[in-house]
Amino acid sequence: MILVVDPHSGIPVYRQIVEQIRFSVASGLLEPGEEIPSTRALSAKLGVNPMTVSKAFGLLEEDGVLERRPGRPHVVRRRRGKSIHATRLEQLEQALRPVATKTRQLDLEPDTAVQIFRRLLEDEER
Amino acid sequence: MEFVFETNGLTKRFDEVTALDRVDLKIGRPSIVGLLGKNGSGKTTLINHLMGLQLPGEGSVTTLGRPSAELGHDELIHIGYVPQEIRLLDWMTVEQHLHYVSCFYPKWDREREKRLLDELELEASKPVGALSTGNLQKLAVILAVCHHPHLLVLDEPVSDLDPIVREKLLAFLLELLREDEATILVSSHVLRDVEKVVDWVVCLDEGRVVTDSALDELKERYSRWRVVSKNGDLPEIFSEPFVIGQEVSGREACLLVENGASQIDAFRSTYGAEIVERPLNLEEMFPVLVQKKSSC
Amino acid sequence: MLTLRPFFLLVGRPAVFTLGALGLLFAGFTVTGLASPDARIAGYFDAVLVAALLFPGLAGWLAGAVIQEFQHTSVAMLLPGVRSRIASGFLFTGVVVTAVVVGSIALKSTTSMNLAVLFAVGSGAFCLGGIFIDPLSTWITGANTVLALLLVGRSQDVSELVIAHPVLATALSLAVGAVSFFRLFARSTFRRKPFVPTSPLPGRYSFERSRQRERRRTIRDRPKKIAWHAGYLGSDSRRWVRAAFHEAHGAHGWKAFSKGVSRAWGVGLLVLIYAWADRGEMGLGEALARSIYDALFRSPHEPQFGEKGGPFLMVLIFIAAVGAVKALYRPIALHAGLTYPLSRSGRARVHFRGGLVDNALFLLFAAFVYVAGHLTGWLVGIEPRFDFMPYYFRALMLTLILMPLAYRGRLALLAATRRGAENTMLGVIFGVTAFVIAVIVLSVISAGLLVPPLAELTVLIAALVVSQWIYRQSLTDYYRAADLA
Repeated sequence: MILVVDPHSGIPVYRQIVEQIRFSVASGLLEPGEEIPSTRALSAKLGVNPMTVSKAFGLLEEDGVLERRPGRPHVVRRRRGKSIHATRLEQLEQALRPVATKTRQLDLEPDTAVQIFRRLLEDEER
Repeated sequence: MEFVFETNGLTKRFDEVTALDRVDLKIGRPSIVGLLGKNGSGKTTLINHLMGLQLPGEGSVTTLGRPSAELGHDELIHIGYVPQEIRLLDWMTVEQHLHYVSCFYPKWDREREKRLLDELELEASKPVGALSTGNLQKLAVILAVCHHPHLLVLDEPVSDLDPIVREKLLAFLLELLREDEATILVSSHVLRDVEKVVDWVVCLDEGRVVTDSALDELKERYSRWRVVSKNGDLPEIFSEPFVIGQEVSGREACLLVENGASQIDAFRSTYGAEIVERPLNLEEMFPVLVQKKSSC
Repeated sequence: MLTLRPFFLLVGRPAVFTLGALGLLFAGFTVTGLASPDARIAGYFDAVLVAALLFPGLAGWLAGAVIQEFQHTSVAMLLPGVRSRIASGFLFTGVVVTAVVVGSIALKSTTSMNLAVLFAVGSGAFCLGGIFIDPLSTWITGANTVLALLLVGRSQDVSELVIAHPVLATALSLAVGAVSFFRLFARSTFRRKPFVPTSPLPGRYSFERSRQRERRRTIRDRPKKIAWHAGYLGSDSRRWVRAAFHEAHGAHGWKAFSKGVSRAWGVGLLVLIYAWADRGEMGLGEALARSIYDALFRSPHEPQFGEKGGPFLMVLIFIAAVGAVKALYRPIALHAGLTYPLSRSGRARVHFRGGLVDNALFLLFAAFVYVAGHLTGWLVGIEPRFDFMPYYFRALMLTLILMPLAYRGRLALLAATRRGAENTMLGVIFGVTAFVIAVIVLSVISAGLLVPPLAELTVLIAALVVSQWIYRQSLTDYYRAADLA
């Protein structure tokens, strides 16, 4: 698992970690049952405060993305197919929200925007 | 003991100037605290009080469970201090100076000393008097950490160090936190560095504490809104209490917002505007924290 | 008047006035002393000539020092017309000061020296004073010092020459003045100085060269293996005094110590040679040696001890100055800005004990001088005396009794420096002077009490114990409540 955090971006580091792990899980980069590096190891690797990492892990645990095992590093929780799909939809919606705002600012019709979006997806596929 | 460092109503005056004004702080548990403020805001004075070098005019200061005026051998062997003005014994070599200071403490980690000398690229046989300011800072840090302090205080420790060495030093501070469970207080103007390692921020302005929060909480508290109106001009001034800074020009505005997350939808519908939110990093937040002034 | 302003703006500072006052005091003291000297050495000094040299010379030194300090800033050489403006201020001061001195001489004394010649001599001395301590080359300073000593030490002979050859004397003085003046204000001087970090004026740039040189010398001369084998010091203040001693003197080692001793012996040897060479009834060297010997080793309780004056004061000032310089400049104390794991009371104890070790060193030095003094006397051919309570002993004891003042003064000086006071070196000079004056006052007071020698011994020892006790209390109080940073 590769994580990149930017301590200067203004987004709290723990949030960046949470979102990146969520995305990795949702996109399948992190498989269910896979082990995550320990708090110590990850904080040393990223060069951040270990409390930041444990905060991130705590939140992911609460959300049911990670599972805690006593004395051992966290693992990715096995989830049902439906909840994985829901997570993916959530991720996409989050990514598209600023695009929607821009569309409105540019005073364009939703259908036009959807057309462009479809074309972009099809281009990529090719 | 509960807190590593605690002050209650700490006030200190020097002739006409009030250096510290009713400061109430509690710092505890292993943590890295960033002490920020403009020049002359009282950071070094606060640190001097922590170390027991200066005594409060009013109020009280407790360090490692003892009033700072009574700090004795048993507490001071657990404290490490890197002062802003470094005065060492010029005639000794780096090695000899380390050897001399090692006698102050019951336990001195020679392995750590060797490793740091190596990592920070400091020549052991050079006389201290011939060291550049950057190298002096490196030596001052090594002198302060080899006895595994519980409390480490650094006053502008990186001002003369090049970026590579700064990187190494900050990584070492994190290691101290992890391995020794030390509490670290860093006072620095290089906010980019501070931001990387601290989890708590204390800001002083003219001797008063104006910020005392977790860094994450601060990042979530303040943000910048780019506002574009969909119909007609925006009002010239926004008087909402959560808007702490603004720049308005016709249909556009740039607002500095405090705790605005809950207000964003209402704002959007009130003014019929699109809002793009952008968080602030520590450097951008700093003028707000110390002066509550707008800077868009 | 406008062109004089730049110079006077530079000069108008408290540091300059303090130094000026001290210089005036010193010069006045010397001239008065020489005007009514010990019968033995009366014939050698001409107070008038010394006055004409010393007052303008010191004024020139002060003015020159201010100018040199200015020359060391990075902007001096870039300012338009700066040389001529400052130079005119310098010359104006020189003319005024010399005129005042010559005028006073005319009013107060009868001398067969031509006043105009004296004026030329004074002006020459003023200009020479300006580059007396030339930071750019040491040999000039050395040469100037030798010249000054010759002129003062042989002032009677010189004044005879001046009376005999007035035109030559005037020409010579003006020539020396002109050379010094042009050296001080040369364009090349302005160019070079910013890159040589030194200035003869105590202050922020104070004695930088000597400090740098001392630093280089201590780095070069320190022993190869520094003797520090203490191990964990704990909280015992006795062991911490060892650390304090190491901090104050660890750099010195036996090599530097022997160098210091051999230098002192070298100077002593030169003095000895001069004393031996200048023997006989008319010899200044021997006359001085006899006066000083008496001052050191004769007891004030002896019936013939009637003479007060020069040599006794010299001995007292020397002893007091040595003690004060050690206490103010490099006492045995914890110097560095390190976090010493000592409680405040522990620090007070270490400070006090360090002072005791310093006193012991001082007595060691005094014993050394005692032995050396007798040796010198024997070599010159003086009858040795071993009086019970020699004046030397009284001088020592008075210094030791008042030594705590110097130590407390140093703490005050440190506190002032931390608060941003500019002139540390000035503080030391001022402190030494104040201490010496205090010792002189005490000695004058105690000299009036005619007590038998045994009682004097008892009183002095009791006073010493009391003074140390008071010092100890004052230190504890200080450390309990003071800001240490």
